[in-house]
Amino acid sequence: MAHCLLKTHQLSWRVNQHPIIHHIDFSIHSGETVGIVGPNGAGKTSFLKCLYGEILNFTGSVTLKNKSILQLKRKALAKQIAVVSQTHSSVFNLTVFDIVRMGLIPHKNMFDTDSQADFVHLEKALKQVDLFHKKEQTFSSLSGGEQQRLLIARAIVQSPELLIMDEPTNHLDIFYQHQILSLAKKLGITLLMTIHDLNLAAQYCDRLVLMHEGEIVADDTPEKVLTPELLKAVFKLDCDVDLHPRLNVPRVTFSGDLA
Amino acid sequence: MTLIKNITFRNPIIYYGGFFLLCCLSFVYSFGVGVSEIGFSEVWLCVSQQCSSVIYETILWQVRLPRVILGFIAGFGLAVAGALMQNVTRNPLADPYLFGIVAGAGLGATVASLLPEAFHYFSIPFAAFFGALFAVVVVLGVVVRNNWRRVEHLLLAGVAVSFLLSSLTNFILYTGDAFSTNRVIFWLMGSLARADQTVLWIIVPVVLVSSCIAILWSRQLDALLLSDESARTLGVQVAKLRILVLLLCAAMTAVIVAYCGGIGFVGLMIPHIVRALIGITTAKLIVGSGLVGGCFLIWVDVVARSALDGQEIPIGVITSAVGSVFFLLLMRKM
Repeated sequence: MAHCLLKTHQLSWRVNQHPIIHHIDFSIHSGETVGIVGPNGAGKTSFLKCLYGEILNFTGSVTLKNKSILQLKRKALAKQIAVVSQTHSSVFNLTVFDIVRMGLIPHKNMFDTDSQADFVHLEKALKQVDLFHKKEQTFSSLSGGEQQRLLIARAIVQSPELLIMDEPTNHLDIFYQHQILSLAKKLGITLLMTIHDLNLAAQYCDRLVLMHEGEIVADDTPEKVLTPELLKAVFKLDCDVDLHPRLNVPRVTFSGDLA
Repeated sequence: MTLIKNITFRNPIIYYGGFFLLCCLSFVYSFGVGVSEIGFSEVWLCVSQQCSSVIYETILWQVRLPRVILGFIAGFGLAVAGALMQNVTRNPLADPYLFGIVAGAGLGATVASLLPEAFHYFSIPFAAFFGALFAVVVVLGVVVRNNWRRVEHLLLAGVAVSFLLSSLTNFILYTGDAFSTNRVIFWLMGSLARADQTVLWIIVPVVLVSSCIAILWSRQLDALLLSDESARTLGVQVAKLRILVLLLCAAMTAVIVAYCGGIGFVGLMIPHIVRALIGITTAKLIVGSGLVGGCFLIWVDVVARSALDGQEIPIGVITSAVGSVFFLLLMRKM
C-alpha cells in the first residue's frame, strides 16, 4: 500500500471546555481521495483546520510524513498541503493572475523574482482550469464555480502532495459541482475534502469518513459507510440506499420522514 | 509562445515612467516658486554653476532644494505608509495616522513647547517623535495582548488612543500660555519650512529603507489581501508580518510628522488613485504611491508658497481640503 501521508492520533479540540472534535484517529495515504461527510456542526471544518495548521491548540497529534505539524514551519507545511477553503471576499479587487501567482509564495525566498519557468507554470495551471482567457478579470467578477476553479489553479501552482478542500461544491449548480470534483480528481494529488452531497461523495471518493458530534462514526468505502442504519443514526432521517445503475456506486435517497 | 507576463497587465512601466517624468518637472518648477520669484533661466544658470547672484544661490541650494526634497520624501513616505496600512488591514479607510501617530506627536510637541524657547529647534521634533512612538506602542500593545482576534481591533484601538492623546493635548494647550499654544497649533497644521540638510539625513534613509523592506516582503503581503487564513496556508507568518509592516509604517510616519507636522489625507487618498491606475498588488502599489505622493506634496507646497502674497498657507490645510473633496467623490463610487 502507498505510504501514509497524514495521520492523527487521539486528536481533540475544545472551545471553552466544549468539545468540538473528540479523539479522532485518522490517516490518509498518498493517492487516495477521501471525503468527510456528516451533518452541520459535526466538526468537519474544525477537523480540517487542525490538519492544515489553522487550529494549533488541539490535543493529541497530527503528523505529516511522521513529523508533527507543530514542528513544521508554515512554509514547509505550505509546500506539502494546499487548501481551498470556503468562499473568500476581498475588498480590493485582485485579478485572476494575482491570485494564481500566490501559489508561488511557499517556493520563493525574499530576493527571488518570477522566472520564465514560473510564468509557464502559471499559464499551464490557468489553462488546466480553463481560466486563462480571464486572467485579467477581477476575482469578484468571477462566478462561484470560477472562483473555486481559480483557487484550485492556485493550489496546482503550489504543487502540494495533499490538497484539502472545504465544501468545494457549496453554492454551485450541478454542472459546476461535477466540474470541480472531476477537475480536482484529475490532478492526481492526494485529496481530502468535506462534502455535503452524499451521492457526489460516493461517486468521487475512494473512501468516506462519516462524522457525527465531533467523532468519526464510520471510515470505510462508500458502500460500507452509506448504509440506511448509519445514515439514519447520524442525519435523523429515513433513507433508501440502492446501487446507481450505471456507475455502480451507492445512491442515497432521503424520504423526508423525520426519524 | 506568448508569455503571460507580456500580455497580462496595463503595463505599469509606462505609468512609472510618466510619474517619474512628472516628478522631475515638478522638482524643476517648484525651484522657481516662492516669496522671491526666480525665473527658470536663473534656475538653470544656478544648476550649471553660473549663478548671477549669491542670494539666489543661497536661496536655491540652502532653502529651496532641501524643501523640495523634503516635500517629495514626506509625500512618498506618507503615501507608502498609507498603501501598506490599507493592504495589511484589508481596509480601504486605513491611514498612517490611524495609530494615533499625529495625536501622539501633537502631545509630544505640546509638552516640548512648555520648555524654554532656546531648546525648541531640537526639542519639538524629538518630543513629537517620541510622542508618536508612544502612541504606536500603546496601540500595538493593546492589539497584541488581544491576540489579533480581529484586524478591526487595530483600527478601533488607534481611534481610541488618538482621542485620548488629543484630549490631553487640548487640556495642556487650554491651561498653557497663548504664545506656545499658537506655535503648537501652527505646527500641527503641517509645514515644510523646517527643511534643512540635517532633517533630510534623518527622514530620507528611514523612508527609503522602510519602503525597500516592504517591497522585499511584497509577495507575502499580497497573500494577506485575500484573507489571513488563506495567507497562512500559503506559508505566510501573518501576525509577525503584520507587526513588521506596522512598525515600518510607524517609523516612516513618526519621523515625517516630527519634522513636518500633521499632513493629513495623503496616505489615505494617494493609494486609491494608484490602485485605480496601476493595480493593487503590493510592489506596484508601493512604487506608484511613493512617486505620486511625492509629486503631489511638491505641488501642494508650491500652492502653499504662492497662493497668498508674501505668506505661506500650512500644507496640512491644503492636503486636507483636497483630500476630503476627493474622499467625497470616492464615496459616490463605493
